[in-house]
Amino acid sequence: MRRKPGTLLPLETAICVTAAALLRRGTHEFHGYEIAKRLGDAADRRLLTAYGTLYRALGRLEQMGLLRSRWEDPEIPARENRPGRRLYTLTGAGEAAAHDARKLVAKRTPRRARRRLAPA
Amino acid sequence: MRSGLLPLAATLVRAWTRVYTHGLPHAERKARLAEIDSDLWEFEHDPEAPRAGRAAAHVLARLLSGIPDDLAWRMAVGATAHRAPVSALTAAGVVNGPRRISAFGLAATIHVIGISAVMSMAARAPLSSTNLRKVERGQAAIGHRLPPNASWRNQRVRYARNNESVAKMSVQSAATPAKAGAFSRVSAVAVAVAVRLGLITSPRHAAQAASEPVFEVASIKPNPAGRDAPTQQRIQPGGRFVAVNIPVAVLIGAAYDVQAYRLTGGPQWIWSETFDIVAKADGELLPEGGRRPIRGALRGLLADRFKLVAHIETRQLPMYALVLARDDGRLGPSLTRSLRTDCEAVRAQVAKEATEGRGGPPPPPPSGGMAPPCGAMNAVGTFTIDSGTLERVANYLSAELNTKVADRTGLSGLFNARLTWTPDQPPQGSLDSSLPSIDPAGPSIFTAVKEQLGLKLLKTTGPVEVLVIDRIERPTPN
Repeated sequence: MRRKPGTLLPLETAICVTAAALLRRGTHEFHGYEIAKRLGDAADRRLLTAYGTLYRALGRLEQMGLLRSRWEDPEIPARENRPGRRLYTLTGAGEAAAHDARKLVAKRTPRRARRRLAPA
Repeated sequence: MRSGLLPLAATLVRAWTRVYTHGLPHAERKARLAEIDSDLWEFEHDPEAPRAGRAAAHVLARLLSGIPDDLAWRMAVGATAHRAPVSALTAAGVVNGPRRISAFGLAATIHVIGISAVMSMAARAPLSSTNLRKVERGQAAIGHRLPPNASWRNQRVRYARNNESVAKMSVQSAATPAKAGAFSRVSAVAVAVAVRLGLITSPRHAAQAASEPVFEVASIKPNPAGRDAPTQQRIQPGGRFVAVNIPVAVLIGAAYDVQAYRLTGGPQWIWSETFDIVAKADGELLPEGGRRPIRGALRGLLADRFKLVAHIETRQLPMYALVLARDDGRLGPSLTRSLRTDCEAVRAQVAKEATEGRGGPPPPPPSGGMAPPCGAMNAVGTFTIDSGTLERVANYLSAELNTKVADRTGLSGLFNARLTWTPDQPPQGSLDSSLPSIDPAGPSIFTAVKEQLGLKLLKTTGPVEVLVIDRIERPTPN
């Protein structure tokens, strides 16, 4: 998908918004599979975002400074006997982008007319 | 689909990741492989994720639909890593044209085969829109004919009995290729088109296109001296490769670039019996400007004369993670940051000198256990690395411990490292006098790593690529 300068692709916006939602619930860091699952839940899709699409988007967001990543302390996966996770964090710029995206969505969605009760 | 398909699908994802990250900067490749591995693990252990055959289909769908992005990412990372013109890089062997084309061809073929598989499945079980909705809800298309407690297997059997056309279709697929259905036809067309367009190349053609040498003649004789006698491998002018008293396992390791701990299967004699090998390649192995890689030629030799059949697979094996020992991140006294930032110029100079002086005796190694610039020196109970990454340190530790050691320090850049320890089994006989002597009361390698490098080795389990020997025979006579 071609990108207009200074804008985010829908998937990138969705990642920022989902990460911001996680942040509000107290989850500061997330890994690739976790965000894919949340994105799937939010869009009510069973199929998670493709590996290539997801990790390419995460990489782009990191390059743009909207996400930051680190590899978790190797002692943790060693203890839990699993591969190490790359943990992403939403930066201040990422939070701002998520906020802007939510505002834009709210502006585009027409408000429902308030139901009036029929007169008795 | 059976539940055993999930590991197969995961293996496909890992294999594809290795293909499209091949030749990229190591840090990028390692990070992508680790991230995909973590994703697969999380999926396999997620209680809410689909199970059995649906899980495998899910993984494959995620793989197939992401391939265009994988390739785009690869091109972007490759362009960042190699800013020089592609033609110059191709001439220098940094960018391998056939390899890029093969990766693209593989991607295109996987896509076409995947799509045709879906078409084939749809053709085998035509469903009405009502039944399709039932299938989407997880019910079999004929679920209403069966008792509610019927197992999935019973449903399949009943479905096959009740629906003759489905049973016929499966027999035709196996026995009569001419009527094998959409999958075989589309796959055959896809492969034919890909080959015709040169998108897929056989390993032999790819090797030739990349001007890799091939051994034209080879003499292989058993050496009765066995493992106790010294082993030598040399490349000589005129395209000659000479190996003296070499075990086949070592040759396999060199051909496939795997250390001993990653070699599994095969009979005991590949380690115990040794051979003298003299082979002549189709051209000079030490041309101007460097050395031609001979791995492809060695693989050909092993396949022709030893009838070697092997494959690579990923297994969960015990391994070590190399991590920082101290909380404050300070390094040990024998691990310091190198002042060099780039070893390419140094290596080019070394290659040039080697080419100019070829035919003469090799230069003597630096004395006193010192490593050459941008190089390494190792001996029993010690190694020294000049301007190497911590991954290189991990590789030396892997060889010593005969177990994979993964660099998880998170430190990048070049380091000078020197490690001295007391081996568990000190060597018999005399050692080179220029090397430091072994202190029998010295530290173990684990203690030495902690005290001298400021790092530590943590036991863990992780994915390790191993080369599995499926078949090998003693060499055919010359």
